[in-house]
Amino acid sequence: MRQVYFSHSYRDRSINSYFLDRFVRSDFELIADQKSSTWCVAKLERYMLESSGFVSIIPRRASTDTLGYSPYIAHELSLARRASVPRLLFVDSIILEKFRDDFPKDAVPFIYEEPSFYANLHDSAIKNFRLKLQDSSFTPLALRKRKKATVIAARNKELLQAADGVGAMLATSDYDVFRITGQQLHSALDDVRLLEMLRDSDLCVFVLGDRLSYANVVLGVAYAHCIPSVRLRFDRRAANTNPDVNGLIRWSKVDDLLAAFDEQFDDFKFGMQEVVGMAKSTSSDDAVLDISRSRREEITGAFWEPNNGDGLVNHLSMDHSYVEDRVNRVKNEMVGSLGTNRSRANSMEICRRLYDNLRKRDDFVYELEPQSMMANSQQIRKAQEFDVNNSATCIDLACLFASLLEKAYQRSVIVVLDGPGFAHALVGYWAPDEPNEHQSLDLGTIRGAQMRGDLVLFESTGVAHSEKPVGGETEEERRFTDDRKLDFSTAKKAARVLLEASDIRLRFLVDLHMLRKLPK
Amino acid sequence: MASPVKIYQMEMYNNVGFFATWLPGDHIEVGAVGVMKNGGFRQEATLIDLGIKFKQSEEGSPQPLKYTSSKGTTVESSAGARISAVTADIKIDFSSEGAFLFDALNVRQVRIVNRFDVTADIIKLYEEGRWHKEWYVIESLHVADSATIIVSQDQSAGIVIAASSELPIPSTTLADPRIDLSVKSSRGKLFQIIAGRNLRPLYACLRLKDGLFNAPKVVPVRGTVSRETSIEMFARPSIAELLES
Repeated sequence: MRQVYFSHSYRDRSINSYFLDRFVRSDFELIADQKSSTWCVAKLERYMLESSGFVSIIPRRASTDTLGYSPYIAHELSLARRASVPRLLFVDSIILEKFRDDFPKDAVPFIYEEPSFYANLHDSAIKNFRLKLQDSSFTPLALRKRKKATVIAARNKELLQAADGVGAMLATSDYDVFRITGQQLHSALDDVRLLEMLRDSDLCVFVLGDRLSYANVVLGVAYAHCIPSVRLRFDRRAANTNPDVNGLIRWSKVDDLLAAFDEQFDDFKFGMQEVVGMAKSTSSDDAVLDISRSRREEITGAFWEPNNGDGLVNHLSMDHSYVEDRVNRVKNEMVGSLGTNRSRANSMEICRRLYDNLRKRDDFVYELEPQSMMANSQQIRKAQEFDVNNSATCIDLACLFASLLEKAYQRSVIVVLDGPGFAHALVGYWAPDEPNEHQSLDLGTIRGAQMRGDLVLFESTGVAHSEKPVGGETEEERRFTDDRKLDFSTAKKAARVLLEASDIRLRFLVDLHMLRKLPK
Repeated sequence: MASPVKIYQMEMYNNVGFFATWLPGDHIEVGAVGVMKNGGFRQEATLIDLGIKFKQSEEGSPQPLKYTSSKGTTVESSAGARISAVTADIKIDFSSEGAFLFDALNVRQVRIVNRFDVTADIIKLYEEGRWHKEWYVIESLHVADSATIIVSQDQSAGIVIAASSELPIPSTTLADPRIDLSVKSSRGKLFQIIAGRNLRPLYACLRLKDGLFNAPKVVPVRGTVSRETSIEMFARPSIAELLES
């Protein structure tokens, strides 16, 4: 059986597991990209060209305001359609109904809450797809010459300097690098050798200026042929080099461009995982879990020893633009100073708005921490990573909320509790009129403070999609909303339930507000 | 070994984070000022006596509170699972010192809501020499419409309570004022309040923090809102302070 690209949303594990089970029975070879913090469209283009087929599972991605589906899956589907790869789409029936024109007519519906309702239809579609692939004349470009790259740069001193840097990085990885610049670009539409050079390349890199040039014409040619391409466009206003959903990276400094390309190139070289084989050796559930777990990232210094409560202060991101932006939004909503009104009602309102904004506007998914080779330590994701990677554990989100609360002049705390076989972090704040000094910070003190309203704690993962309860919430509470998140009241209740459980022990409470004030 | 009262107070504190009043029938109010002595709060004045005005919150929503000691307490009802019973004997056995049962109905919380003002006024009194450094102020407490509290003061003790009502008796209710409760028999040494009315079984307090005026005092330069920093000169006492008093 030839390889088929498996496009799916990492967060919807039970749906993915349901469909993977059915593909396992039909003996497909499905390849999927393991979750990472890098969105590399060139890699997707490469695998799209090298695959015999394209399978996509498209569930809803609901927020309180809108109902939609992942723009990343939408882009993968668009790549498949451009590459004319035979495809099989399973689409959430509500999404299919609402966005009928977005999907080809042969899309197969499924019911999100009960996918097996159409099990016969799904099995039949998979069987027909298998036959279609056998009969298909589509030939993947699997025999592409490897290790050949083409760098295309508009004629400009800075762009050429950037292209030199990119070429050097490619050469270091033993790529044969070809350059297209200057006069060659002018004949882009007439010179068939140029098209052949592009098509013969494993990877094309476009270093573009802020104005349209012949390099953009060549990019259009590459785009139409789905040739794997990294697009780097100069933009003096670029705040960061995160790729947009189409893969376009904006940059303002050559050093930033080279760092961004390095990350893209690393991801491009990283292979796909064959998920059906993984499912056969374990189970579909395990295979889906493995593929949706972030792969081991480079050690960034974000490691934390989980007994070191005070060490959490090093994982705050108060000065990051992400945190500043969210706090300013709340400040604008509340029309006034956040710090001077020291009433309990005001603190609660600030916290509720910070929470609601993250829940509605950010697309977090509850995820385990990145895999690591470091024993007895855990990687904590910081604000800069939330901009590009929307997955988080309870401690990641607790640190994020602590940063937001501190920035909004609240006295943030993180509580880590141990239960039978788990440890869990809650986040919150001391009421403004509660003394800083507590003679002891034991579980009783925390329970009493919470009961009096002196300490407000909530379930930080309530802002993240999770199909199963993460903390003290019930299964029903997790399933109450389409987006599988918790409203603020439920997040507070979940924290209370966990805190009041009889089998809970306190690992530590960290008063980040006080710790920040200590001399380094 | 800890005394039975200390065990009761410690366990109640671990469960709810409030100090347990001892004796549980002692009447205390928000705004009471006093010292900790022999494991209990001993009132010496009130904020009102001292000229400090405070606002008390509305009573919070009523809720039941029910705890038994982590070990040594068993409760059996002759009504069993029959919710239609109109008479029943409730048998409570204690197999260790300090084993207890705490069953309260319609428990509501009240507290001082203008803490910034009250703490600033206390600091002023202290500076005038009219506030004793060892004083505590009750700033929050639980009021229970009805409660049964039994603490064993022996290694082995027990009590049988006869319950009768015109309404069906839930199997373990010991605080419902609609049920007549009377002690049928008992053995060993027990402290007991059976269906006591209008109790204040739990409280929380504040005191001035240690070394208050030894530390250099640097008030942030931010205008008159600095008055609100008076709360930083207070501390929340630990349960150990009560138990070791």
